[in-house]
Amino acid sequence: MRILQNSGVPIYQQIYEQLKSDILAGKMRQGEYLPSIRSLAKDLKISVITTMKAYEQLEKEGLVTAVQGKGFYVNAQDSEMLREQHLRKVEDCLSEAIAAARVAGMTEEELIVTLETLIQVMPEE
Amino acid sequence: MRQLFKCYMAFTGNLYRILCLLICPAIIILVYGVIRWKIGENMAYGFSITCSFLLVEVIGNYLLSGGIASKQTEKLFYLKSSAKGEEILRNAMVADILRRFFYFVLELLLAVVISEILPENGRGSAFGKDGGISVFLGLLFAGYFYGTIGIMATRLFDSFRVAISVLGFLFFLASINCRFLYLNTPSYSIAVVYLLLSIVASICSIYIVTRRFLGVPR
Amino acid sequence: MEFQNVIYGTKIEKKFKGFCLDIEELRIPKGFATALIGENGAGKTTLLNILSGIRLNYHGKIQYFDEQVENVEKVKDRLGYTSPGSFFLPQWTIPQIGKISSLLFDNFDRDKYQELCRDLAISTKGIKKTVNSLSDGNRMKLTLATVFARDTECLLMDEPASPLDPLMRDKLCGMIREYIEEGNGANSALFSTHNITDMENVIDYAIIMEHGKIAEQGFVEDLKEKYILVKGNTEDVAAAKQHMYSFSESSYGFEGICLAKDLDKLAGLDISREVPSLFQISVAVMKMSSVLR
Repeated sequence: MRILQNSGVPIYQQIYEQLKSDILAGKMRQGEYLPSIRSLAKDLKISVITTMKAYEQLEKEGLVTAVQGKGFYVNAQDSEMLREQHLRKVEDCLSEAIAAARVAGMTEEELIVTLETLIQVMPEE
Repeated sequence: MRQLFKCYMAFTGNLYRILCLLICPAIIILVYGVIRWKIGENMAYGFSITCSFLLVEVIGNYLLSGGIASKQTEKLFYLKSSAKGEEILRNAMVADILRRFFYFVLELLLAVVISEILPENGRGSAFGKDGGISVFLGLLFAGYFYGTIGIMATRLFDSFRVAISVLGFLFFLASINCRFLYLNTPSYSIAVVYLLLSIVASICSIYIVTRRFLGVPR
Repeated sequence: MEFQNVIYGTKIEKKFKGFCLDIEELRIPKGFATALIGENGAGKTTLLNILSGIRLNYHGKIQYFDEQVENVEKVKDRLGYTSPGSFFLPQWTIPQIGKISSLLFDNFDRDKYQELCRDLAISTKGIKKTVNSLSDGNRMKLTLATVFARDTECLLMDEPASPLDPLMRDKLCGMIREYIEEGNGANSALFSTHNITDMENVIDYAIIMEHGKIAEQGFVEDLKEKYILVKGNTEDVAAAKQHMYSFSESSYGFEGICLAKDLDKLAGLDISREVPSLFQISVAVMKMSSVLR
């Protein structure tokens, strides 16, 4: 994990995002405990409250569960839930695009053509 | 008892220990042993051994911080941060008092022993005759009382000028005391009076320091 | 955020000539590092002295730890107090302090103390140095060595970073973090500081004091959401100034702290928003407390 002190992105946000991508990518297994908030704070040389906030955010999104006295463990990230999350993201992004298109005065056809072009142009990962 | 002296050791520095607890007392014992052997015991002897004792105790205590000067108790935040701090301080003070008392006993006694041991004795050894013990006790308790008062004064005022002035005054008291001890018919009344005064003074001296310790910071 | 208190105090009052410490409610969260921030004379030292049992003449009620012990004498063993001022007798030597500490505290570890003295490089020329021959920095290191050699649950440190050089300050932050980690939620630290920036990476909870009162307090992350650093252009000064919490102007524009709840009032202006540092928040709060007093 790498934290940038002066990047303008709050530190807890950086921790949250890096852990989230690790979890979703499957680098951390279900049931595995995250490092304790205090030992993570010690290793990264930051305050405990910062790691705590990052973990709480992960918990809010259902990625981890808190256990009193033991810490936070990774929740089962089944493919159904993952897919659902990604589907939601697609919907959000498309809604944004539609709103922007309306402001720009694009027609529905122009929008669909743009989408198809981009699909062809973007490389598969 | 061991605990008391552990605490006492905690407060005294090496220089003080060597000088005031070892060298000076040894010198006093030897010098006065020889004087008593040569000249015998009289008013001048009693007076000067008392003054030597006072000199070492009061000045030594003040200069080398062997006891606990009042200004220092204000600095003892480390002790105050511990629940045992007051107890340690009190133990050190009690040990100091006991030590002072027994040191004077030792000095007076050993001086007599030396003068008795050395050959050609017989010169007016007051000890053992009538009045010998009452004189001994009179010197002892008086000397101890003066020492305690002297140290209390330096703790309260923490200034060299005060220490010297008080010392001078105590010498004066000692001279009067010796006049009564040596030139009147032997009686224990002086010893008894000074014994009582010593007890009161000892209690006061400990009380003053612990009160300061507890009540102080700004 | 829910948290337990390691120290909880109510109506703490102490009057001096010209100064009055007056705290309605004091909460020190357990398992975190709390910083007391304020100017000289704000009351930080007085408060720490009261909490550690050094100063006994005050009004108010203070409870320690879960059991809500009220008599500080009972818990002094579990508290670790340090002060940059009067602490040791000047004639004490370093080994002598080790002996005295064993007498004073049951939980003092002599070996750990010696190890810390070596680690912190307190004296280089032999170990018989007396306290009054040490520099301020070394004396503080010695004080830290005695407190970290004990098994405590709450550190109460008065300006621990002030006499230390930057390298040692960094090490101190590491020592505090390690202390908090070792306790796994049971150990807490409270320290007063002027060097907010140096200690910012270890502070979890901040209490900003001004003239004997608490002006603001909270977890650092919460404070950083409550206060926003705003920068804008000169032409918007009149419009922005009235909604800002703290404000300053220069030839390049204006800058200041705006409360998050007032941010929408600045909508439409060309402003930039940043997360302020704890230092910037503290300065703004202290300035505003002085003005409003």
